[in-house]
Amino acid sequence: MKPNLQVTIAGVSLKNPVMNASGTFSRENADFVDINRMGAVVVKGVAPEPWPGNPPPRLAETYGGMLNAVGLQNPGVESFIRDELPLYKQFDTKLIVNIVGRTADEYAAVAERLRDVPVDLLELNISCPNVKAGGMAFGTDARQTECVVAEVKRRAAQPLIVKLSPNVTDITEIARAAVAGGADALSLINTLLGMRIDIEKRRPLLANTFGGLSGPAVKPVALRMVYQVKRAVTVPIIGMGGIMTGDDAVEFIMAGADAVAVGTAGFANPHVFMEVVEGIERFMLTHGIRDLQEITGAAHETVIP
Amino acid sequence: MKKVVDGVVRGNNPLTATVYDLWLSVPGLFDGNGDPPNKAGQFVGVYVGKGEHLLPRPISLCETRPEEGLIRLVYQIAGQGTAHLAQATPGQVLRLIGPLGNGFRAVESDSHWLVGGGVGTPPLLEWAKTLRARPASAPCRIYAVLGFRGEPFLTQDFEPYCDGVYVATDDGRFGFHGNAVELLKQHLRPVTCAGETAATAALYACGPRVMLRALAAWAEPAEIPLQVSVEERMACGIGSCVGCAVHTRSDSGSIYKRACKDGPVFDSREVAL
Repeated sequence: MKPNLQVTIAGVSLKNPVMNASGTFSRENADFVDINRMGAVVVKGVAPEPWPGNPPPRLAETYGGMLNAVGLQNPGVESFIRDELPLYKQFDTKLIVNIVGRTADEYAAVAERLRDVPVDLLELNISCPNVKAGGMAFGTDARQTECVVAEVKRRAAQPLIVKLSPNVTDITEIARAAVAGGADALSLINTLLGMRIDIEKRRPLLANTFGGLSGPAVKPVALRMVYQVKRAVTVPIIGMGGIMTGDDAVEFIMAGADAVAVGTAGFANPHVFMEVVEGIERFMLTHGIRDLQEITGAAHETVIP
Repeated sequence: MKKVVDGVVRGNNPLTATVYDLWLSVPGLFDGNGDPPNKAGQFVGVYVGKGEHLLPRPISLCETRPEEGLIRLVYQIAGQGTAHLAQATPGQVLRLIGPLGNGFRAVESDSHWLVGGGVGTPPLLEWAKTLRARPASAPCRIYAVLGFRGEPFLTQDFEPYCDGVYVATDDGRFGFHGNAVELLKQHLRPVTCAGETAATAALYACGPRVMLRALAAWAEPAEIPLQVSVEERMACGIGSCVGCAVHTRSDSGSIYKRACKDGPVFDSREVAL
């Protein structure tokens, strides 16, 4: 009997729990992935107006991962609605728009602009560590997190996922603050702040000095945070951080994630998105699991309180 | 169309201490009609390892042999990934993604000058072949001007397709003692009684930024059309992650374009080198 991979995030039904991580995927990936078979597509961060991003070099490889300091280059919400949205709507999958801003009002302005636009969910990116002008501050401070979430919720129509930064002392504090502000779901983790040094030039390799670490190297941290947040909130959780296979995704689901996102793995293997879906399905088949809810958060049941 | 394909190593031999010549059988890249799978100037992403090296290494296509389903990649050991690649042996399978990027565009002119610096030279070989293969209604003279810091490589491979191959070495061990730009200026003057004039020339260059900058500084005021192939660190290679930003000059101020998708070939006036 075919396992049921359907999941619901904040009232929105996804055909399976696998989506891409924001910033790693675009329509260009359609050459390698049947986007119709993804649970959702997540658009990279959209700002109120075009953001140029950081100067190059923006990328560096690390052992089992990579650093990026792209700096949220994006053409702005008007360009997204006019030029990109129609192309995404061709696909039979849910559409999640990641929104960025330098102030609470900027985030809310993007959300408001998307009110009557056919987008299924918003993802509030308060956690990207690459923006100098205050973006980092929101996601590392509980009160600012609650405020910005509340402001966006006041002006948004679609349900709101809040994407958390791991660069904090206590992720559960930020998670609770986001929920207090009205978050309908949480996604975590964003990238970990890191750097590399060019030993010939004797200076940082990235033009921005620091960048965000992603890929398999961060998986243990991401899993730990999903596990902790699961014990702290009751809203749905989208887990991500170094997922390369269906088995990795199952780890996140057992840690408490209702859905998962795949990012860096797509650079190493453009076909990975379907492989993760099929891997989850295979795990369910071989273990007689009919429904993902049977294993969501399963790792917690064995913990002695 | 871009694909992920597996190729079988047919040869992976050093041309110099740090430059290797990799031939791959990749029938999956060819359409079976005898056409090259790529435009000259395009590249492939080579997946060199699993955990330690996640990102594909972008390497320009040096040559293709459609009738045999072969591609040739000439690359330099620049870091851990390419060092790993240098150990690949015949029979080994390598996964690739490609063809990626845009290619050179032929500018109508009497003479085409292909200017290569070091490991920027390989993609110009495919371009020389392409230009030479153009129908007789577009007659043109093709010259290669190739500069190397030390030991030259690949230069003889240009000879069947070019009316002249000129080689420069920084240390003077072979050919002209100097760099490719200085050598080019010896052959291509603004006004000349005999030989080529800059007024009827088109330039296509690939090599270190400092070479491209020097070339642009000379060619642009003289209004010689110049296309440059630039290099930038990449992750996805297909235009999604916006990591490989190239600073461009545009009417509305500078913006960033993607080396992997909008490039790697740009009109020199488009980019801030």
